[in-house]
Amino acid sequence: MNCLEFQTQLESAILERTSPAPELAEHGCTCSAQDCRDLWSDYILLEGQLPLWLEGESADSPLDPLRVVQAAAESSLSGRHVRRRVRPETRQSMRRWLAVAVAGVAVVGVIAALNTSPDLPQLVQSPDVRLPPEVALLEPGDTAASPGVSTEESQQALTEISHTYVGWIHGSAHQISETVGFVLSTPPSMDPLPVLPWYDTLQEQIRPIEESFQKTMDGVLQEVGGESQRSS
Amino acid sequence: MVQRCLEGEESAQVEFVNLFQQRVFALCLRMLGHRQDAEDVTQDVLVRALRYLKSWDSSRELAPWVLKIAANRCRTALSQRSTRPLPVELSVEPETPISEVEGVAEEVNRGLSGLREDHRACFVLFYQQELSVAEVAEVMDVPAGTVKTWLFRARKELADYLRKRGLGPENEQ
Repeated sequence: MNCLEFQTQLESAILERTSPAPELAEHGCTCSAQDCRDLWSDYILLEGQLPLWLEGESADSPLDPLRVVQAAAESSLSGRHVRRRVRPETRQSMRRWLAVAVAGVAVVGVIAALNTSPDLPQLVQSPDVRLPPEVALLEPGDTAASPGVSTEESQQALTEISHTYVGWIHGSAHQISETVGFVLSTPPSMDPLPVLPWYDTLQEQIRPIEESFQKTMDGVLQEVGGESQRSS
Repeated sequence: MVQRCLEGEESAQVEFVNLFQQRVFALCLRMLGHRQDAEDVTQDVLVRALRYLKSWDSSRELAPWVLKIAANRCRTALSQRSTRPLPVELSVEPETPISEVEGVAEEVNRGLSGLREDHRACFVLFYQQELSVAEVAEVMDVPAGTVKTWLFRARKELADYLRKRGLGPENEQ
């Protein structure tokens, strides 16, 4: 047996877990090559120690199988929970940013409405709308007693002021609701966001408020209009 | 049994755990060298095995599939351990050469803990789990030739360590 045969057969004996042939032992002990003697020495050492290693340490698992099964059931549930848990964080963050954006746009909308409202310059600049100082300082009950200003003139001035204010508020409210609706609604050209169902719910929540605000404003307008018609 | 496990039958799942927990725990213990860590990882392995049982390819053996999960979890645990101090069981260096037979297992474990992680896994799967080279290759996702190379390197390093520790034919005489 040469050294190559020795190494090949020893390798096979190790991998196939078979006892080595006697000639292997003879070559391993008597070969002049240091490599062969080292290989044989390692083999003898490990074959002597490994059985003790396998027996020496108790490897009894102390786990309760039922608890493992329960943990597996809980794990599958919590796995779903983890997937859910990621979404609310993202949604919360987006919601926070969107709220800031909506608030900012609403403020801009109000300012724009104030600047572009045709009634505001009229209110500020029109000499007809300006109240006489006496009227402005009067309490509601004192209007009849004011000297120099007739009741009809005061009534008309008040009605005009009411119209102006109501128109102003109505315009602003309309701008805000339109702005919010524009921000929250998805443009038809864009793909709908897959994980943001709260857009729809928020819009649904806002819609009744918008409608009731609109109704209130219409009622106020009608009331003011009716009063002005009655007074005229 | 697997089918019953997949149907959610608790007794089948308990049977599954009973079937594999000793083998998985033994592998984890030898891989990690720390009993508490091995218990934790064993539980994790069995939980994952039950959870992902439906992904097991039934045309293959079940045991290598479970042991593959175990080997991967041990690898993860070892990589996590590298960021924190070694457990006491592994960090204690023996002061004197051992002479008692009971100490051999402990000494071999110390020798194993000094091996490269993949060499150790290969060695433990082959000797302790008694898997064939092909099965070890499947568990470790490497070619059979690599398994042989790692196995012989592990044997060589372990033999050198044991010889240094006073174990071996020349020391027993």
